[in-house]
Amino acid sequence: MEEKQMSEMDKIMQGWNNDTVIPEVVTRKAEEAFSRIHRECEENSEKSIICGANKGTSTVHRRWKRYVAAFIAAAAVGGTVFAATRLHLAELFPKEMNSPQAQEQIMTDIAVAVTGQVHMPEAYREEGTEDMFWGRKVIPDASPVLSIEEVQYDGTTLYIYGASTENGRKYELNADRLYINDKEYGPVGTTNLNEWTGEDGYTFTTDLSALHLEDDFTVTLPLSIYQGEERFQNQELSFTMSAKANIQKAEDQTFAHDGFTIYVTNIVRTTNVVRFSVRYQLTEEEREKLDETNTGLTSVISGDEVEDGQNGFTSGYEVEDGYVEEHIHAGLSPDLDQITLQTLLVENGGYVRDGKVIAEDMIRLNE
Amino acid sequence: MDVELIRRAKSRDPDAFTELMRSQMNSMYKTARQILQSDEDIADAVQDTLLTCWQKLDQLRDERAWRAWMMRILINNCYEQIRKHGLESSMDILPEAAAYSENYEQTEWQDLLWRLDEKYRMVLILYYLEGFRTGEIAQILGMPEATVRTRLKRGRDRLAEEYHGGKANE
Repeated sequence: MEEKQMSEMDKIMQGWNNDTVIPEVVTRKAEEAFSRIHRECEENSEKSIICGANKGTSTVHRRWKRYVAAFIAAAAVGGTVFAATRLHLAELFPKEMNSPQAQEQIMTDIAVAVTGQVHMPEAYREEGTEDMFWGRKVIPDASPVLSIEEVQYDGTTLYIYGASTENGRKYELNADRLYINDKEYGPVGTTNLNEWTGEDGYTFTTDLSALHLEDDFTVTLPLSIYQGEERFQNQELSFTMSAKANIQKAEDQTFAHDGFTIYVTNIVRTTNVVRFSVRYQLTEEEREKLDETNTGLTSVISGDEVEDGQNGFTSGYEVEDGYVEEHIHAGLSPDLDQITLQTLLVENGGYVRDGKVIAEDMIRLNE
Repeated sequence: MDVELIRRAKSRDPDAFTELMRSQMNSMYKTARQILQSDEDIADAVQDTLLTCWQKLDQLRDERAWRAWMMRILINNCYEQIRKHGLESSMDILPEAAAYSENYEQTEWQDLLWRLDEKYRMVLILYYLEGFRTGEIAQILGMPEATVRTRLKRGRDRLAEEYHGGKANE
């Protein structure tokens, strides 16, 4: 985008804050909520939606109790030891993917090797050297700063939770990349839980779906360590993850339709995620028809069986020599063994929801 | 933001909570409107958010993060409305741009924004309108910050494409 137009967009979007008219129904329901809060505080009722410090049990607490119960039951049946404590990573999962089965995949007994700085952090590359960063000397501190306590790889995303050690509580930690089998990958999203829950810990997430990991792999997390303007020497935490246990593959599938053929390949499902590639091969006649009508094909995973809100993440789209290719990953109900792939004819620039369904195919998720 | 007001609200002062949340009504409405088009659904999502925030405010330790925390609750409640009533019922009613903004030029941009996929639109709104940093948006939407940056860039690019397309057709 040209700079001039970009700044115009910035200005208009920032100026869009003006002129908002809140509909009466929204204001009314908000006022109803405020009245209820005031009323229940005044009545100090047992049914109160919590008024006064620590009164009652919040829904979050009840939810955790339910999960803990589920874990204990699973351990008794399967003989597997799951964490019967609060799992920090479960809070990180999108709601739709936060099933007890998904939580069972969280590893809590992790052998972690802590080393000093081996890899050069990305931030150093432009601005610093191994010993200097932005003109300040990097200070060594070999005492561990983070204890990795929960990890999960769901077939697309790697989740890591670490609790700050006593030494680590002095610092602000960050990770901008990580290494998978010693190959750099990222970026990594770092969340300081202290800003959210007051806990001394961090979560790290990164999307690894492009790597198609299906076996054991080694993760090395280089931690940048700050204290105010001071920078400390990085620490690197390494551990091994197993993707194999949580991954099922299905054979490639082909669906022939009038004017186009759909190839569904690289089908992988885990407890809570499915991913696959969709390739449309169009006849020359079909391509011309699409060109003439200014329309295109797109895919949607549909049906109640796929969890809401995680439906049809598409990464990558290309048209080449009669092909349209899409890569889809989505949240998935753990009991599901097939999903519906809808092919829609959509006006170029139009809404997908206005598209016309021209094909529906069932993708089998099991071998 | 008045940290003292947030602290009073955290200590279960309903007047402080009401004052605090009333100051956020515009932001809440505009953000909810990016997901839900029915005013009834928006009203329900906002009401649920107010009650949830009141219930859970004592769990918020860092007052500086409260706005992002509140916004995440709101967005979750908006998706809950879709789950309850279905996407179609929510999406069928397109926003009445004229009621939303009387400025013609801004209405045009709103129209362009509405043509974007929601995943791009939401990131653009939180970044430009609500002034959240990409790290905060990542926390609000529960996704890696890298994804936020990518969506921000793609959203801007797609908006530019729409803009150029519209100009070319004029």
